[in-house]
Amino acid sequence: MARNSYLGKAVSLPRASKWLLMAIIALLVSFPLVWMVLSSFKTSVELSRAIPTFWPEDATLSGYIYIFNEMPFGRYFLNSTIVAVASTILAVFTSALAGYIFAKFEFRWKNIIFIAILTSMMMPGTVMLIPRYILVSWLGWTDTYWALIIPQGITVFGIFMMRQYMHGIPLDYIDAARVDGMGEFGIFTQIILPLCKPPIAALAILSFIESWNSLLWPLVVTSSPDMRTLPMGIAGLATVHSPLLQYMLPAATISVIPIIIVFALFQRQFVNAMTSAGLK
Amino acid sequence: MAQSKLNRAQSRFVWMSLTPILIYLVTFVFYPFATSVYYSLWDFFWDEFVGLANYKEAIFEDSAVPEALKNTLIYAAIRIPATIIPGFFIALALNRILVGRGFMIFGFFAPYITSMVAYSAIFLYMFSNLGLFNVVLQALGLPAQPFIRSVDEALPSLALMDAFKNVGFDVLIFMAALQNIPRSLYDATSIDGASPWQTTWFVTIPLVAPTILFLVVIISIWTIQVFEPIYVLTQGGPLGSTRTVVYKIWEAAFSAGRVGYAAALSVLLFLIVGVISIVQLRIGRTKWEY
Repeated sequence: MARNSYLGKAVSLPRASKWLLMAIIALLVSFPLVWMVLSSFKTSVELSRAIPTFWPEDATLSGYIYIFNEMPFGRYFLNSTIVAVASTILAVFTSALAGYIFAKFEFRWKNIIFIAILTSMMMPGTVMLIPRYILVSWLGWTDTYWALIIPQGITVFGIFMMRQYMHGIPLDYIDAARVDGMGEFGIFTQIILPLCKPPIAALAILSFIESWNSLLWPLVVTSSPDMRTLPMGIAGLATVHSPLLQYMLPAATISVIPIIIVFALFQRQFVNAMTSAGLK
Repeated sequence: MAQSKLNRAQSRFVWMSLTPILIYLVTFVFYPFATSVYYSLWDFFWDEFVGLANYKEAIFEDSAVPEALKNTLIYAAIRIPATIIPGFFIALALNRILVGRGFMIFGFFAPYITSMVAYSAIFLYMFSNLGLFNVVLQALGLPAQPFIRSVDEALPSLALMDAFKNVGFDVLIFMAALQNIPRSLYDATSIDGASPWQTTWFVTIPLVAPTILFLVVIISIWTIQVFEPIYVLTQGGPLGSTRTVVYKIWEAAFSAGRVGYAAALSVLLFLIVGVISIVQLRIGRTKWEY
């Protein structure tokens, strides 16, 4: 017995140190974000000090006040929100509808159409940057919400993901609704969509994050300050020689905090969604 | 299982829903892709058909293109192992931790979901002359480094920042893979008296080989398209040392106004990513058995 408890200690000591090591690494990886939030309350004088401070010495909201009063960051935040919400709703709806049709109906050219969709899944987004830009200019959409939302409202990956999930829904559910006299579109919105909460949540998270964080596409299709999104606003403050950190850090903080809060609330769904993106 | 025979109402539903979606898809996915090749044969400034001249210039004349390709490959060569190797060991340790695991996953994953642009803001602070990294170096008695202001250090600095931000993705992918390894295999090796290092090297790593390959491919595809950290932190400099392929495409189209040339560069980028995707498909087809 005594021997056993001795052994137990010998085993648990490295285990405790391993736990501590992992905790330290986890803190280290999240340190930049924590420090970003703390440093967003520092004055420009404190930010350029020779020895950086961890806690803000005299915490100030002046950076936040400046970016909202003197710069259009309120507008950027609004634009980012409108674009991310609208393109997410659109992407979830088109993916779910197309996924449902490909999973549950047989029709002519189905396989050819689906193979074409699958092939284009391998297309990297940046390859379509230039032709999409030309298309959007031709449509007269540059510098409008249309340009920011519509191209992001359809996702081949989303269609594929929805179809995979809907394959598992028994046909009996659909047939039972048909016997009850439900219309086809009603079956989709009232029977199918409620059954597909997990992939809808995953796709919504993915689309929202992708849109909220994107820089290149908004950079290409917008030109007026009124149409800029948050990442563009933040990037605009960065210049190699004199980055305006006292404004950049508050701006970065307001763009990150909403996402982190939602992530904290729905950690499991976020992890599932963001790792499924690996299949993309 | 799909409905085999459609009645009128069903086929009307299918075609009325599918038609707008297909038009949408053709307009914003298929059409742009098809036209990228066509546009690459034009000079937009003079509105003139130039045939393969853009490709000829990109491959043989514009020295910035092979330079950008080289920079992109160096970036990928640093970025890929810099998350896969630590990601594997972190996942291995994390899988055995029960207390506080949720918090640790939160810590690893939060940077992954934040925007690269916002994340770069704090690194701009840390990379500066009087920044945190130099303070730490000097505290250790090491000389201060120029980091993103130096031709030699800028690209590795950006790649390592990217890795530090995104290691959480690899951790979670590895954690899922490790949970699929049957417990009995570990019991067998411990009966055989294998040390933990031997078990890791001879049992675990071969078993997660498909996951490693998957990560290599997927991260290659992502990093070959890297743009944001460069746009925010270095704008391709100093002296073009961080100009990657996508940054070059962006410059060609939107600084130099050479849209046709940028389209040609995009097609070349597609070919590179296409090769990687084919590798991915072949890996996907291989049967892995435990």
